[in-house]
Amino acid sequence: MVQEILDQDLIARIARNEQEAFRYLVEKYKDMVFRTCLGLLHDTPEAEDITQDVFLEVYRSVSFFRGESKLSTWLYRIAINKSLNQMKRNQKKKSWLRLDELVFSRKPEKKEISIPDLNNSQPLEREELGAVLRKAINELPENQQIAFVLAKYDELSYKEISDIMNTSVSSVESLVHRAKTNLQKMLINIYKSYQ
Amino acid sequence: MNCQEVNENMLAYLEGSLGGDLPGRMKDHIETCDSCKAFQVFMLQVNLQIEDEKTRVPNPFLYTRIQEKIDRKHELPVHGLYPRLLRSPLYYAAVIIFAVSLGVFAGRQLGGLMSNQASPAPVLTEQEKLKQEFYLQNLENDDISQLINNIDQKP
Ligand SMILES: [Zn+2]
Repeated sequence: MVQEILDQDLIARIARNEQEAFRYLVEKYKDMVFRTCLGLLHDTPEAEDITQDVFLEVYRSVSFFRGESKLSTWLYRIAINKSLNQMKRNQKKKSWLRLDELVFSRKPEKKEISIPDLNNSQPLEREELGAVLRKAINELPENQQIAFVLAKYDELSYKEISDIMNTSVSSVESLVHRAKTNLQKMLINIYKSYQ
Repeated sequence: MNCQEVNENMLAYLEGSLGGDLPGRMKDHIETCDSCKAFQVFMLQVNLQIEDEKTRVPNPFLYTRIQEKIDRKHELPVHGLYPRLLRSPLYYAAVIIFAVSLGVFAGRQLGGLMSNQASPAPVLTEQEKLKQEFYLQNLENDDISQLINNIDQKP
C-alpha cells in the first residue's frame, strides 16, 4: 500500500516536471523493464534501446496515467508493447534481407545460428544460445510469449500476470502451461535439426 | 519410459515441477541413455542462458541517455503542445485544407505554365485574384498560428 502511494506521488511529481522524480522512477524500475524487454528480444543492445523508449514514453504520457492500475503494471504493458513492435520490425527487416539476398544474391550479414556437434559436449557460445532461445520463444503465439516471459523472467505470480494481460488467472495458468509445452517441442526440433 | 517421453518432459524435469514417480523414472532413463543425456546437456545450457539473461542489467548510464533524448528538440513531452495538437481533429482539418490549397495552387501554376506555351494566359478577375490571395494568406499567417494558440489554451 505504501509503495502504491509513493508511486502515485512520483507520477504527480513527474507530471509537474520534477526531474529528480523522473530519475528516481528510472532508477527504481530500469532493471524490471530491461529484464522484460530482454526476455522478449534476447539481445542486450536492443533491449537497452527499447528500455530507453519505455521511459521516454512514460515521461511523455505521464499526465495520462490515472492510477487505475499499479505503476509497475503500466510499465510492464509499455515494455511488452514496445518489445513486440521491435520484434515485428525485426521480422520485416529479416524479410527484406531475404528478398535482398534473393534478388541481388547477397549474403546475409548476420550468420545463421549454427549449433556445433552437440554430442561433442562442447558448451554453446552465449550468442548461439541466445539465438536458440530467441528462435524458440519467438515461435510461440504472442500471448504465450508474454505469459512465459512474465512468469519465467520476471517471476510474477499468475495474479500479477493476469492484471498486466487483462485476463483471468486461469487463462494465464493455461497460457504458461501451453507456452512451456510448445517451447519444449520447439527446442526438441531445434536440437534435432542440428544433429 | 522412452526417449520421446523423456525429451518432452525435460524442461519440467529440470524445473523440478514433475510430480509422482516421474522424476525418478526420468533420472533412471537419462543415466543409461547417451542421446537423452546429450539432450539434457543442451536443455541445461538453455536454462542457464535464461538465468544469465535474467541477471543482466542495463547500462549504468541509462538515465543519462534518456535525459539526452528528452533534451533533444524533437523529443518534446506529450503533455506539451504538439501531441495535443496531433490529437485534435482541427489539426487534421488544417492539414487537409493546406494540402488541398497547395494542390490547387500547384495546379494553377502548372496550368498557367502549360497554357502560356499553348494559348494566352487566362486573365483572372480582380475578385478571383483577391479570393486566391486571401485563401493562401489566410492559411499561412492566420489559421495555423491561431489553431495552435487555441489548442494550447484549452484546459
Ligand atoms: Zn533416451
